[in-house]
Amino acid sequence: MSEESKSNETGFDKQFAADVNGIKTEFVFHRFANKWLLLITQLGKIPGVYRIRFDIKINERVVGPIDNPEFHVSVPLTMNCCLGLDSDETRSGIQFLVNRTALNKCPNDEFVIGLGINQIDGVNLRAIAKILDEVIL
Amino acid sequence: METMTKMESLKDQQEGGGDVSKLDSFSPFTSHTANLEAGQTNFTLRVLKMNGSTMLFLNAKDMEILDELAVAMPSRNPGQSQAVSSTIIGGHGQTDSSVLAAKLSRRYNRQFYVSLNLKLDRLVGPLFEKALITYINDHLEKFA
Repeated sequence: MSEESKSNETGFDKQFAADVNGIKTEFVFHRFANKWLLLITQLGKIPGVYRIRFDIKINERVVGPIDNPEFHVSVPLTMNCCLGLDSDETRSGIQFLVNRTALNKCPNDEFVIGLGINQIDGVNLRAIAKILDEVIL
Repeated sequence: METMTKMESLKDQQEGGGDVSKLDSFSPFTSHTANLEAGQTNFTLRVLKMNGSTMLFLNAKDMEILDELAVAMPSRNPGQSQAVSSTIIGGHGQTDSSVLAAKLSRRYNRQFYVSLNLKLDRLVGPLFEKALITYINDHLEKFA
């Protein structure tokens, strides 16, 4: 009745630990058919889960994110904290990662992210964004 | 923008960002995937083993989606065997994911996140649970 036909050692599209400014950080990423899943944590567990919806679908965007101090344009998002402490720092960290990485190229209308960073600041977020773009996305 | 500016102003204040030695003591996450059969139904199991908790994604073999996510943890009260569960994403109140998470949490005395995205009826449901439990028991080191 129960038969295991196949077992692989990597359960997701990407799952690894990386060094982020001296702190071991776990990354898990998987493309499900209807949404992406991204977990980034330095805490050994999932601290919180956010459901992120793109307010404008990818094929309807006239202007993408513009990374310029004078003419900065963010990706419009709606964030719902589904689990854990909801904080402005975490929300701004997620917005930063969406603006700076290919997360904004997500073909689905939404994705799920779990972000557990000890210290949410520009240094750590830039390091994480670099890993996301170079290794994951 | 203002928040980001504040965050960037913390750049100079950052001194390593916490107790690194303590963080390094965490076990690395492990994951694997398996295809299981329950009667005529094939399903895909994706497992992420974390520190003190385990995350499961259960989907039909040909279509993997993320519609539901629930969490359950064993009760701190030794006299109460019932696990505490909650739906995080999808559905309201008690969902298939939260029921399965509670069952697993109670059985293995561990926190479980479960994303069950299968349509199960009364016939397939028990076969599915038996297939899953049998697989977990055979590979317990990958789950707990």
